[in-house]
Amino acid sequence: MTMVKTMRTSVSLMLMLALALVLAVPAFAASQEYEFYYEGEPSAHASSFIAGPAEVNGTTVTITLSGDYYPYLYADDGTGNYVQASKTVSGGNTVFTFTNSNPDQDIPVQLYVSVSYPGGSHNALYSLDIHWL
Amino acid sequence: MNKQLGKILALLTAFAIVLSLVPGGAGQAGAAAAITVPDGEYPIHFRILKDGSEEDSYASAYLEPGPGKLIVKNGKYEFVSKWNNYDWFAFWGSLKPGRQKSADADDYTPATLISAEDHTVTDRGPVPGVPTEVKGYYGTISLPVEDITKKQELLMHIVIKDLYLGGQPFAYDHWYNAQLLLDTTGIPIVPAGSGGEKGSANITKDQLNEKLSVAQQVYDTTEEGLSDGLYYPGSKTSLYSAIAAARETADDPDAAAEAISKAYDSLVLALENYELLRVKIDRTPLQQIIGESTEYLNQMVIFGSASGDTRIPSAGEHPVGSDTALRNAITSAESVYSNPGATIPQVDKAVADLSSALQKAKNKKTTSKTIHVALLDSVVPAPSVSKLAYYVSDTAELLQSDTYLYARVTWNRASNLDTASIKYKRPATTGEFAFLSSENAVIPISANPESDTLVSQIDVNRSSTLNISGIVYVKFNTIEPSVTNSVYLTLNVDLLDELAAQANEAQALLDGASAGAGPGQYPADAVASFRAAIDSAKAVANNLGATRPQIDAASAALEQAVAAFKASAAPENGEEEDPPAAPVPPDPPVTPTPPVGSPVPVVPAPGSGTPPTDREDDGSTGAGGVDGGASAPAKSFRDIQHHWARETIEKAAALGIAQGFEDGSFRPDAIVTRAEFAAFLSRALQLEAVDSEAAASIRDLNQMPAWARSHAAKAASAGLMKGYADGAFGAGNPISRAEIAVVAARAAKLAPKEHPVLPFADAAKIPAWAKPEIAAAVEAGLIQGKDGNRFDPDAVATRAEALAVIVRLLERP
Repeated sequence: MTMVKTMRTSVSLMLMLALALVLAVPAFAASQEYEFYYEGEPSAHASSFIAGPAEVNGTTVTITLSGDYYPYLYADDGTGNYVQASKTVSGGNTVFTFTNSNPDQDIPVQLYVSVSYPGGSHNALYSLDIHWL
Repeated sequence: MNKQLGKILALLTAFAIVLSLVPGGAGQAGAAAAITVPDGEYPIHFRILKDGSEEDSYASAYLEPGPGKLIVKNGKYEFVSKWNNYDWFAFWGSLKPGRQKSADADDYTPATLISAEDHTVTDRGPVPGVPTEVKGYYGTISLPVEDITKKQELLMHIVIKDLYLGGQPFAYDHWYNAQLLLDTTGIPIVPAGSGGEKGSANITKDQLNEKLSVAQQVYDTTEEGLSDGLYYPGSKTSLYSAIAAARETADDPDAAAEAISKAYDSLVLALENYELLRVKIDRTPLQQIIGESTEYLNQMVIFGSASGDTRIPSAGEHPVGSDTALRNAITSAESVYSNPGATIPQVDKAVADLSSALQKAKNKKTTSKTIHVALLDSVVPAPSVSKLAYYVSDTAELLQSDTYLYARVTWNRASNLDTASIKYKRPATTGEFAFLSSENAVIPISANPESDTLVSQIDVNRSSTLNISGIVYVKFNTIEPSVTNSVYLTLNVDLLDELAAQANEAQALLDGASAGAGPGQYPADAVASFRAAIDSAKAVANNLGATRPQIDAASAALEQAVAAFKASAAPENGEEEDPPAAPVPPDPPVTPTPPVGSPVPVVPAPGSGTPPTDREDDGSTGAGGVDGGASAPAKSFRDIQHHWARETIEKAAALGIAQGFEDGSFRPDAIVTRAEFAAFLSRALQLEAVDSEAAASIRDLNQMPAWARSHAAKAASAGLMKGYADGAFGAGNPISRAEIAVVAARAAKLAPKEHPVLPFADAAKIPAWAKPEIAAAVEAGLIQGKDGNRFDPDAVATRAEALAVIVRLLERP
């Protein structure tokens, strides 16, 4: 009887622990919608390349942009220093991951866009702000 | 002696003219004279500028080499240019005179395609190097230009097709503003309205030579340019032509006296014109806008000035940083103002930039108003006032700074609230009943223990668009009982009241009208259409869960319906006696909207995973348009010209699937009702056989509009739309995207997926009962996800979305 009670207690504790772990993940990782601002104003054009919400996991921010036209992105690390984001390409989208010490605030980034097409090319570095919605 | 004196006078005159070229000071009145160009065709250099800048637009990459052409006819200008990849230009246009720059094609005169040429290219298509013939690859176009001395505003719509980058299709569909800058150098410009006979007589060759000497001196010592004191580009061309013509006469030993006098007069006129073309920049507008902006800046108050917290705005305050933006714009404008070498475009741009900055600052000034709000337990499928409504005051303060919205909500029974637990999600920026991902804590504003209330702030919108539902998701814990409550706060109550008032006004118009063909009477079909529009507006007005776009669309549709109805009246004829008025037939029965808070049909909670027993839809009442049953022929619709589903709608209209409304609109973004969808489906699939048992099982068959009955019966009989558990079909109710996908899968006879995998970010929101058929429909390409990789299963579908699914259904092999 005592053993059964002990087992029940252990099972309950394990369930609570498992539940706590499950609940703990969303507390640190969250989706967050954003817009790009260019020269202090919302840029519908730049924002149209946002493939989905950002993922903010503590101080790590991941954004996904549609297409593979972005050789690199530098992001403000929260102190005014621009640090190059890590980049992967997946399913035709470009995923940049970087850290920022205070991701609750809007984040200045510098995004290089490079597109070659018939008749010309588009290569430019844009200073943008990630504006959280 | 006379000859020498003449030369001295001539040199003095030239010197005087040159002296007069010293740039004027700031605030100098007057500008370069209005100019014109003699009728003709001229090669002209030009640039397409990136919007609001002096940089070349990327569109320039598609320009064929060489100058463009300026065609002048009766003082009107047309600019002709040749482009490659022209099949990507879905729209090109020049801003119409008197219109404000915008992104609306209606404000622009479309370019005229003069000629198009096909071309074979190797850089399109999925496999590089494979020759592909492109229809209309080259396009020579003509654009009207209002004033060749100013930048011509342009609008273009670029839709890139057949282009693959790195093996991936390059999807590109954007509208752009840009400016056309013409270089008038070499164009023989003259002041507008100049000319007239001088009528000089008895001019000697010596006098002509002296005037030539003056003109040549002026020509050699002056410059063209756009700064103060310079001569407008193109003015030297006109002067040079006049000098050359006069010199020909002077050099002609046989020139008659009359010809010499005429040449002299032409030269004098050319010099006068030349002087009129000297640039005199009017800096007064710049001075005025600097003054106005400085005055505004000095009285700007920033968020938190009253509250001490920059997160908490008060009426009249501006967001942090908006003063800096205006100050920087003023500094830039002052720099141009004080620069004597500033050009006309620089001064114009400074005025435009500062005006824009000032307007933006003004737009951000916070306004405040009291609005009515309501707390709902559910919105979709049917709204119901929350049983916890007493926790929230039915009025709130709504503050607005440009597109940012802040709602100050008063909570009652505050002592029973876990105030730290109050969280909310902002409405999505799609306008649909959906929410952004992040959960936010409210900002406490004040508390009043005596009245047991507290006020907290909800930041409703931080996006650059006001295209939001106006409904906020709110979560809070009560202490006794200890329960977490999820509710919806709608800020749209006043908008619904306004729509209801608009509908009542329209109803009064209808009630006071008489049907018939006599003077002042209204045709029966106009009466029917108007009644349908009123019913449709009332249905939205009675839906407490309606989103702002739905309310706006209903209001606009009703406004159009009122105008169309008024226009349909037969002209009054005062000379004839009015025929006896036939009374307008009474309104047909309208499916009643369930009172807010009353029991609603049995429906699964969104995301609950409980399969519906026998239904595809639910929700509030809605009325169909002419699509319901009128036999209007398929045609083009005035409100789909720039709609993404234009081709689909036109195809559907051509096939007789959809017919639009009496007022010539299609209302592509209006919510599709179950009856409309059944009608689309029945026509598209040519459903004929009606199982009388199935039809008889529709409990509300006789309550639905006559046009809808046969379609509903056919859809039910075919097993595609079965109706509610209580036997009702719900003709006027909206239909969700999930339900449309399920019906489409059934119609296509797709086998439900046994182990459905849906790659959408919000796949968890898709009810389990719908997943197998939605997965099949998605795999078959019948329905697609939305932006942000969402399926948005609970969103109500629009007429355009419904038709897109049906047309894809028909196009299946």
